[in-house]
Amino acid sequence: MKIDALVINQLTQISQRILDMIERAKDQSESLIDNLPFLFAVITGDGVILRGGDRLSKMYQCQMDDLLGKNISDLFRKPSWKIMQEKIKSARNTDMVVFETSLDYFRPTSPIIQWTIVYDNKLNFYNNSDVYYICGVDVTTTRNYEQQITKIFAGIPLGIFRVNSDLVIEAPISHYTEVLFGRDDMIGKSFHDVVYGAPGVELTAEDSKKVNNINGIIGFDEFVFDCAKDSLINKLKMIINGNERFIGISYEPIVENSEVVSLLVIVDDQTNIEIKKSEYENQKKYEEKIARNIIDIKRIPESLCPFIFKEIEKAILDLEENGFRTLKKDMIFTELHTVKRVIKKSGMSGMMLEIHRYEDMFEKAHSTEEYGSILSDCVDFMRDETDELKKLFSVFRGGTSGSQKDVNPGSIRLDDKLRKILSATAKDLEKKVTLDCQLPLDIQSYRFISVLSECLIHLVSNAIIHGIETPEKRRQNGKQESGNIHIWTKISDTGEIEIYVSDDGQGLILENLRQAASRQNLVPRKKLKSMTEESLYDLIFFPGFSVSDHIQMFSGKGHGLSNVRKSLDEIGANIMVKTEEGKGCEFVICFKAE
Amino acid sequence: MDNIGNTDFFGINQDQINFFTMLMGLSAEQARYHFRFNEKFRFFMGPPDAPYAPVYAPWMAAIILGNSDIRIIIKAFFSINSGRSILKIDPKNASGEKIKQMIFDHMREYLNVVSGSVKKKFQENHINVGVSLPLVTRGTDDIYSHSKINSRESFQHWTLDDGEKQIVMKAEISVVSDIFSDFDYEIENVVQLDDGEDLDFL
Repeated sequence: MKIDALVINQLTQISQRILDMIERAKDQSESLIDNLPFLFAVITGDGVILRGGDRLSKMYQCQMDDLLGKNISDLFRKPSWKIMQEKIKSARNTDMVVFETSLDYFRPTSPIIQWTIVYDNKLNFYNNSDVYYICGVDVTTTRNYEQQITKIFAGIPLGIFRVNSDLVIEAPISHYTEVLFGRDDMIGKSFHDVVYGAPGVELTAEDSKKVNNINGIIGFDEFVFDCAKDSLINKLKMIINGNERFIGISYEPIVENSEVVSLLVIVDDQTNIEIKKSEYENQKKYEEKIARNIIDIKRIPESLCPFIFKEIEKAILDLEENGFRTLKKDMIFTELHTVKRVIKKSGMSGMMLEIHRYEDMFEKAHSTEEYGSILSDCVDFMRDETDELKKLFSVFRGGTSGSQKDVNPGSIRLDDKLRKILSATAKDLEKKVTLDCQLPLDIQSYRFISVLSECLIHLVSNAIIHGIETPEKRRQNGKQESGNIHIWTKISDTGEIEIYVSDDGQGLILENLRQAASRQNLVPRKKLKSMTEESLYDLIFFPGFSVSDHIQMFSGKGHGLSNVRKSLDEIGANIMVKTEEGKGCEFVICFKAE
Repeated sequence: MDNIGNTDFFGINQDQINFFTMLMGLSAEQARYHFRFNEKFRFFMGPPDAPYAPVYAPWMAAIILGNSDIRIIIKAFFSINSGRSILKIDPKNASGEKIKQMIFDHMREYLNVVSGSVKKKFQENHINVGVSLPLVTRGTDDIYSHSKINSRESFQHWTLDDGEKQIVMKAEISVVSDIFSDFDYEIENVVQLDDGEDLDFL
């Protein structure tokens, strides 16, 4: 018995030491649990708190001991608690659930808590009291930062994702991809569904044929990809809330052992680029139209202009009245034909092109509504165009159909005007010409700028029409395909300003001049033989002199250079010409500085 | 010993019933003086109707008695508010942590005294048992002690309550061999505290 007692005493001492250690360890762990830096609770399935941490008691504004028996549902508004209850139920099946919810469903500023619910499946002793461990971390700040970062990253217009051999999108994907396609569940989805089937995507007929081309790229040789990549859709047009959006798509192969195993697809928002491109195209078209109109205006004899405009306006009015009255195709075409005839007579090629376009539209239309709509557009366009031509006429020809004060001559720079005329005329004549224009910087402020600009425009037009040869002819003559027109200014010793307009075209051909003068009976034949070269060259300024024997679209009336000399005479300026056959021609305008 | 259930006295053999009765009597006698119950004091079997069962109170004091044949764990569930009432502490005059430690010490002492009485009863029946140090921990910890209850173990709840303070007692007994065949369960002497002894707190 004594030995037993001794043994028991020893055992008791050992167990006491162990218990003492356990208690100290327990104290520490309890303290740790109490002060966990997140919301912690042990709860029953009904939400009754069996054990809580310091953070939770602070939320309840009570002592930690008072948490026992409280229901965690008191922390939530009803909708949030419903979500929580569902998650508690699902935790029973899956052992652990992680989710986020706000404590107050109705207040956006309410803290967002990330909850982790763990079901203790070993504690099944109390049938009605399942035990769950709940940890709640306040992630409001994190989510706010994430939102900010998301906004920043969403601003980087590049989305990247990978497509595997089954054409399924694989993780990871860049966030902007989700922004572009307006969905956050792209991973694991079909490329076709996500990209081509995105909301608002409008595939053109051509693109619709390309949709399946991507199917035959992955899994083949890299060479196949190189050959076929151009046949893939590289731009998507989306209509979102009535706004157009363009998404550029490019494809990069991921190659293993020279076989394309997957594709890296790079998408970016090209809406702004497309808008700018469209604006640029419109601007270019507008500039070309203006240049064409200027040429058209210059073709119209000055004295006839007011009558032509009146005739056009009358034709437009007839079209409007008769067209809208009947809204019948035959009538509209008859009136439109009248307008075309008047415009053709006046030589306004730019306007004619547009009328042809409207004619096509009428041809395709079937209903009176469509006729009405097109007719309305057509009439508006022709009226605007006529007004614009009238305005240009007043600027370039000093016409009576508009006040010169309406348009500031300086509003269009002279060198710009020259370039536009040059590009339009050269295009029409299928010639290649470059212009080097070095006019005085203050030329726009010259009192007689309108006369000067008219003369220079005429000289440049003449150089393109008569001087510069076609590219083929220039090649045959050993010249470069592209002709050059050079305008520069010099101040002479006597203080006069000299403006030179030279070209490297065919120059004036003496024999042609003689024949033209003879043909037009401008100079007696006998006198022609005795005339010096300078006198012969001077013939080009003679009224009615033209080397062409018939009137053409761009030349042939023979009044151009005589008008130039006449206008220059009126402002006290002279014009002279120097030429060398086959090498070019040079006009010099001299006038006294203001 | 193979018909132990988890309800009060259900399926427990007579020896264990006798032992639990003795233990309840010892704890109640000690509690009457230790916890200064008032005239409304009542003793009843089973835990109170706590809505948050199985945790009966935020805190739990526990002590282990045992030898190679038997292991007994006596637990007392209490709240700090009950402890304040027991020690008649004015909440304005002491910090929370200090009071908590005083209450914990008092509950440890109570279990020491109860387990001492039990040990004495075992010695009277020529059975040596060791007694551990009392331990105070969170009441929640009790829920983990039931996870592996088996046929050799049984437990019993009883509650000591006077309206102001409530102590839920629980005893778990695990018997390996039959040691209760000649056990004398009669309670003769109860250690009593004088009124106010070691209990005058601020």
